[in-house]
Amino acid sequence: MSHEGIADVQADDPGAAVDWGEGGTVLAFLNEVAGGRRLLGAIRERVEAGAEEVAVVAPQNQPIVGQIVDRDEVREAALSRVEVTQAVLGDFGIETVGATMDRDPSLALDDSVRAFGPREVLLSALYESRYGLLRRDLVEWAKAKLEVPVTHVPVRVEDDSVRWDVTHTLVVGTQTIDSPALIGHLKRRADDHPHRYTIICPRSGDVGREEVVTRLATTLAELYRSEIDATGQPMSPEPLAAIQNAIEHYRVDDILISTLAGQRSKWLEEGLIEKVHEITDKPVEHVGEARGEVQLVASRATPEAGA
Amino acid sequence: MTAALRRPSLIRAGFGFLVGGALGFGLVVALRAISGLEIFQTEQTGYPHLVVPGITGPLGFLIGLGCFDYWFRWAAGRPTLPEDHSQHGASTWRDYFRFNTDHKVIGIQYIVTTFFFFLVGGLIAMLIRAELAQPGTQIVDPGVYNGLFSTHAALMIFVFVIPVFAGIANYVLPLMIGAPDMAFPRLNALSFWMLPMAGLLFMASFLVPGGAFDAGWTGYAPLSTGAPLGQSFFNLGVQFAGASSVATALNFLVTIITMRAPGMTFWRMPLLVWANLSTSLLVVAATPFIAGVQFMVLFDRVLDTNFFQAAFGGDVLSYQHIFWFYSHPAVYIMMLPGFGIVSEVISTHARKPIFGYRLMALALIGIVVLSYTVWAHHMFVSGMFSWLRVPMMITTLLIAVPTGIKIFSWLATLFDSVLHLRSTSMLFALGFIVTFVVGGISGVMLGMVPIDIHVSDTYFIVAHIHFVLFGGSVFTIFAGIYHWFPKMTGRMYDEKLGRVHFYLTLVGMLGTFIPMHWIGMEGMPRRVADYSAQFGDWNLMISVSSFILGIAQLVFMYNMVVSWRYGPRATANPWRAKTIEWQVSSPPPIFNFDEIPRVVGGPYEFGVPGARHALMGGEGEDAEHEVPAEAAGSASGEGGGTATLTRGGP
Repeated sequence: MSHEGIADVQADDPGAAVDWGEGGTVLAFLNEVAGGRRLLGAIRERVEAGAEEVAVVAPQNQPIVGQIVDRDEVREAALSRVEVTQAVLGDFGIETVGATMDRDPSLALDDSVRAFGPREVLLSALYESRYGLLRRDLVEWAKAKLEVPVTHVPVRVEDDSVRWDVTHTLVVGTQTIDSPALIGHLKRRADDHPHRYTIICPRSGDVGREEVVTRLATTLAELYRSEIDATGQPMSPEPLAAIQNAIEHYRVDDILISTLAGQRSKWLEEGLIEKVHEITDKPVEHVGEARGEVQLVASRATPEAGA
Repeated sequence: MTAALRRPSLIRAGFGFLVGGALGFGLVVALRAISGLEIFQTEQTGYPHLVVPGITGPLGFLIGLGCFDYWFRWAAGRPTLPEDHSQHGASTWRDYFRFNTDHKVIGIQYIVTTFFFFLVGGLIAMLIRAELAQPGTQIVDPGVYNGLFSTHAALMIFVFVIPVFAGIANYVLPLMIGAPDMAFPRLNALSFWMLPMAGLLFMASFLVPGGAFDAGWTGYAPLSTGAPLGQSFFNLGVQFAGASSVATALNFLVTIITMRAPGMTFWRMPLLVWANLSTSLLVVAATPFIAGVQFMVLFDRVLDTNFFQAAFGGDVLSYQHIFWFYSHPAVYIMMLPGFGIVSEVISTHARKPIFGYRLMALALIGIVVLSYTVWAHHMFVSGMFSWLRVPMMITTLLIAVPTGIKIFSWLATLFDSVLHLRSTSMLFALGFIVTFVVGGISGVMLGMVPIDIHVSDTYFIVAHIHFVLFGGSVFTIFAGIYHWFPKMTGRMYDEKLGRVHFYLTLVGMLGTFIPMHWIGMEGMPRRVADYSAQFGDWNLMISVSSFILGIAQLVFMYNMVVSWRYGPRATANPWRAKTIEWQVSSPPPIFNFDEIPRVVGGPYEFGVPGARHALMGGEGEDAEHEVPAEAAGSASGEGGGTATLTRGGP
């Protein structure tokens, strides 16, 4: 069976060999970040090998981007990570069950193992980069503590971050995030030059979180099918704060902001594009969507260039 | 008859009591005869031929009841059956009258027994108030009056407030932490059966020569060392109550530390469990002090030792130091479990997560530590070194800080909640906050040396202690009984009668104890049968209010008894609570759980869709599924929130 664009994606960590012929559950644990193409590939491998069910779990910890202080929003961010991953997996025909757990990742992972009794844990997490007395590497901890095999599926692949030929693009959009025109635009950009997309969907108008999750998942699934690396999540802050946080925490080479065209966009009304130019010197591309087509509205490499 | 004596039973226990008593009596007679002493020593404080049977009789009772059968078999090298559960659980009411190792049965045994002593203590209080309704002597003479208030206090403190909390926790705590029973079930049963011995010894003191002990529940030396025989019964009763208390506390500690369900981290424990952990630490460390000091008094009385007899070099003040080193922490032993109960009740009935969960737990530990540093504030006028007053005043004021944290956290939990004032347990919890704050504030006043000196040994002290122990502890006890009544009995109580009970109790309590502050400030001394005519009107009002308070308890008793027998069937979780005990049937199965629950979140995640504290039985293992459609997941004890369990598919 074809992996439909993900066959080349393997987890860095081969993990322990599990005989999936006996069925059982595979647990995908999303710490701080959500899935990505490697996780999808790893899960599909297990399902094709015979895993009967997939549980997708996220701890309710602070997302790496967002600086959220409201407890409900932290929970929603975790829920979004789970739901986006579930929706993407659903798009590839994989049925899942999802849950959010404790805010402490190790406790949440421990709980998940007790709750779902998996035969293997796929631990989707960042590489450990924090140091000091309080450093606690979740991957190390999980491998030492848990009785089930743990496979680390890193989200931010270091190879990518040092590859000179990959452009890391921050895609910002909510109302238009699943428009075929935008997806086509992203694919075209990736065809021209290797890209890795980080998609954020900040709060916008009265679009509910569930709807954003569905839209985002459609986009991610489409990109995965085209073998394009991408991760994404709905975000609760307002768009400018969300972009600021993303720039601070992710590697971002350029920014693509997708809005409704012209006067229909509240973001444009609020002067979002100008404000983004004020906070960063990274190239910003603005695409507006009208009648199913994206139109390049503005693009500039530096604030000076656009001034 | 022979068969009845072979089987552990109350009949054999009665026989054991007689045999034990006779052995004790015989031992004293024999030893005195061998020693050439007068066989029956009958000086005022002596009576060894009655004091020793006061120890051996109850021990014989416990042996006859079967409390030591298993250990005796083990010690004798005979086969023991660790899996023999014939003494576990109750299928008829008779099972509550035997040695039973089921923590749920023991919990109910504790509660019913302690409420019996509460009634006796309450009746004594009625007698006291009847006597005090008017100046002069009407009903009892001053000597009997002294015995009445002493026995009232001893019964209420040692065999009601302290052990009733142990009873509630006995029932609820193992369920709450997902354990099948307490860590040491036989020790648990023994702990319970020592308790009636204490209460009966206190009550029996009325029957002995010289009358009941009359040195107050504090039993200050040298008043106690020279008191009539009844005082020895107090000394012995405290030993049985103390041993029961320490054994129970050890059991709780081991149970909490070692038997929590998987996933039940310390920060996920319900606050009632935290409260009992803290209380048990207090009991284990402090209770040996009162046991020791009561033995010292007993030895002074019976063996002519001179611990507290100043004429022979004894140190009178050291009694007070040792006594209060236990008895001030004992105030918290009588409060902390109530704090736990109130947290459970408020969170559940207000449908709100506990505000500042971790701080609430840490405040309990803070109180435990500080409670050992304040004892001498009871001794500001005792003649101790005066420099000791100021540090004790400061620590006393300091202890208001963790207590205040708890009060504000409860208020913050209540803030913006939807209160249903029809729930009796919630009413008692709210009433507790009000009355305990009043008692706390008068406590802070008493912590200040000048005020304490002014009101020392007046009715202000009586008002304070009753606001704390009745408005505080007893209100929480009622809150807990109403809250867990459906779980314990499988029946619902009559909420309307519950509200009648609450409002009558509140009115009676306030009417009784508020005026005591005023007459205390004006100088009416406590522990005196007669008083100046100027206090007559207030005392009449106090007595009338106290009778309202007494009548209110009859409403409670009627409600409990009738509801237990005829109340509507209770569902497993009538309050829609989150903690584990509510996830099993009412009453729970004999060993609590078919499978040990798996804890996945905090206990108070109200308002979070699909939040779960624990997964029961096979939930979650097979996602096809027993996991409820909206379930799982959760939060830390701090209340990080829980999301809905979601399903995704093509």
